[in-house]
Amino acid sequence: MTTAAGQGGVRLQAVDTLAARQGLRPGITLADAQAVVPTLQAIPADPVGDAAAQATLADWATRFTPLVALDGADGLLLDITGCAHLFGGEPGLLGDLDRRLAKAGISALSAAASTPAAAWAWARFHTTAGGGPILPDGQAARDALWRLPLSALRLSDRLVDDLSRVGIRRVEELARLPRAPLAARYGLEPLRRLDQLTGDAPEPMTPVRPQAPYIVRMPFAEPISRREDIDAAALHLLREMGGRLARDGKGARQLDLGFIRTDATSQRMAIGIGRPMRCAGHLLRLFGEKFSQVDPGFGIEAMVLEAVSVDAMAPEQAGLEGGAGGTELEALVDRVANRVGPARMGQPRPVNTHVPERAVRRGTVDGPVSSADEWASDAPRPVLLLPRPEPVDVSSVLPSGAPAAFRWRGDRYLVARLEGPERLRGEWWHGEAPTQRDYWRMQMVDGRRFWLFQAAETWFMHGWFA
Amino acid sequence: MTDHAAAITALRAQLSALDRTRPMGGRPPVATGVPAIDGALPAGGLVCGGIHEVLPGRHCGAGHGFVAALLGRLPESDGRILWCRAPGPANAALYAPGIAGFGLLPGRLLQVYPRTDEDALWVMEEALRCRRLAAAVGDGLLPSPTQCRRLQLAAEAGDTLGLMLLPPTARPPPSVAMTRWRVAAAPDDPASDGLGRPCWTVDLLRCRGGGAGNWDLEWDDEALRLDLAGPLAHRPVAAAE
Repeated sequence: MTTAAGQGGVRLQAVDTLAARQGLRPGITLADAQAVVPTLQAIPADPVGDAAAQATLADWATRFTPLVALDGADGLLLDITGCAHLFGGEPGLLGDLDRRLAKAGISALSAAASTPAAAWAWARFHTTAGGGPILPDGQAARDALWRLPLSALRLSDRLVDDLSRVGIRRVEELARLPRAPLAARYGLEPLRRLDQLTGDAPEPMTPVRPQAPYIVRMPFAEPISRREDIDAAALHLLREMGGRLARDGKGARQLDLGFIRTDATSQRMAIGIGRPMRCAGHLLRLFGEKFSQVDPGFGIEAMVLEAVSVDAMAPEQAGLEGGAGGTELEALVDRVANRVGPARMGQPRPVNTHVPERAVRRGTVDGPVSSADEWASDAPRPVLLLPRPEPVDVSSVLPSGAPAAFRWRGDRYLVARLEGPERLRGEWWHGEAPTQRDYWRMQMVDGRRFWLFQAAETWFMHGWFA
Repeated sequence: MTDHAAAITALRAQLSALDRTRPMGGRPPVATGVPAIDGALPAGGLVCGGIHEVLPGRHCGAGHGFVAALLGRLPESDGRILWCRAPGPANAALYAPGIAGFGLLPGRLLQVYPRTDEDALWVMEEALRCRRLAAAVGDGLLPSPTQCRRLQLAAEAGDTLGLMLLPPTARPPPSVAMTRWRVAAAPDDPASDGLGRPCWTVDLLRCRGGGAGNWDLEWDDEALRLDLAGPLAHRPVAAAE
């Protein structure tokens, strides 16, 4: 049982079955509850942890259907239209779901109905209403729902209180009232909820994961955990995906592989590909680099492969299999990008700026190669640049004001000759302070050449020349 | 007797090919353009399909300049150059506008910044194995002898030029690399106006199938080529030895 601070002291926020049997309900104060059950064990509520656990469970539930939405703070909504038959119909799916949740130590109520609102109500009230977890269709459904208490409509507590004060306690009683006066007195909320229950008003769901255009899944009779089995299953999935993409003349740009574990958790890994691709062997190599990070836990019971992003792909490209020249380099780029991360590789591109540390940006790997002219500069530039200029400690000064000797990072440097200054101004039109830097090329007695600048009376080390 | 001499020559050629001191066919070696240095290398240049180590000085850009000058000699038709920068504390990083002055077009580079040394070595091995890259450079990586052996095998498989810019340590461990160089900045001609051409002291510390050597070079920034440094008279005795 968990508690949270509320009006008038600490109140119960959630109770387990054992506590419920003792008559405890969420909302009563902890002091009252302890008076009823002195041996009560209460722990503070952890909303953040609860939300994370709900998200984990939602991800796991994608093993049944790709359309899984969070429902409030304590529920999950699964759209099983068109996929219940894979699990032996609705009874089979619900049975499977309950069994797996129980095995993972999660107590849950589940039900199936033809609208989200009806499923919400039926999951929470079918045991008290005396019916199976699957709401029948048509008139039978209406009869069953009509007998439910008003709180099955997801109305606010205040509305439920107001309505019960005028003697309306069940859905049926509300449905029988004339609609116009009801709306005038209590607002549109009761009518909207009622229509959602019957399916007369739409109730769109927001899936936790955007629906991928191509999905293939593979459940296992026995949970797997060995690397060879994962490889074999992944290859099978990629072949099936490749076949479906080929039929539509498409290639994958981004693939997402989900590992559904037996303990109602899951792990996902994604790969991005520089160009559309459907060759299973190549895609498996890209995934294979990451398989060492798979944590099978107590076993993986299913794997789901989604093509999150696809592009048109000509049939002849599929036959190359990385054998031809261009594709070998592209294959290398894909593998490196997937191992180190696409943001950690790139092609240097010139930027038109006066600030040296900003004169290069990391461009994308593909795209045209910058020409020599774009890099031409009037003044010599160092081959190595410090990401941030570092102040130096000038110990003696020439008559011109330039340093004759300085200390930097603990070493002493003697300046033999210098050349400069090259004046670079801050880009005040970008809203920066109008600083200016006077850059000097300095050669030390031992031949090393540094790039130092003076700004506001201080000298900074910024790079070294070859 | 002449038959014997011919047979011995053929056997020597075969041995040196097996030893990788000469290319086994495939891409020609990369000459430095300085006859004195190329003459000291058994293949007349840096053998592709092998690892070559360059030991730079501390806080000194000469090693990077030397590598950029070598890479600039690779024809553009050979392909792109992968430049893998080892992770490390905030330190000076390759500055593209600077290397353009050494004949290396920055646009040819594919720069990779892995998060760990392990990833960096993996990237190097994959890159060296790829036949479509002109060269792969490991910047700031110090591979162990075993790792170096792996890189050498990968370079042989891909016939790719592998250049390792080692971190500036006084005594790097022995390795199976084809060559190891030390490149340090040297004072330029004091008679020149302002700062003259970049001058380097280049030591060939070891070379498979060849001896050691020591040269004073300068970078001709107009012709974009390496030259032996001019008159040695003004140099201190230590540098000329």
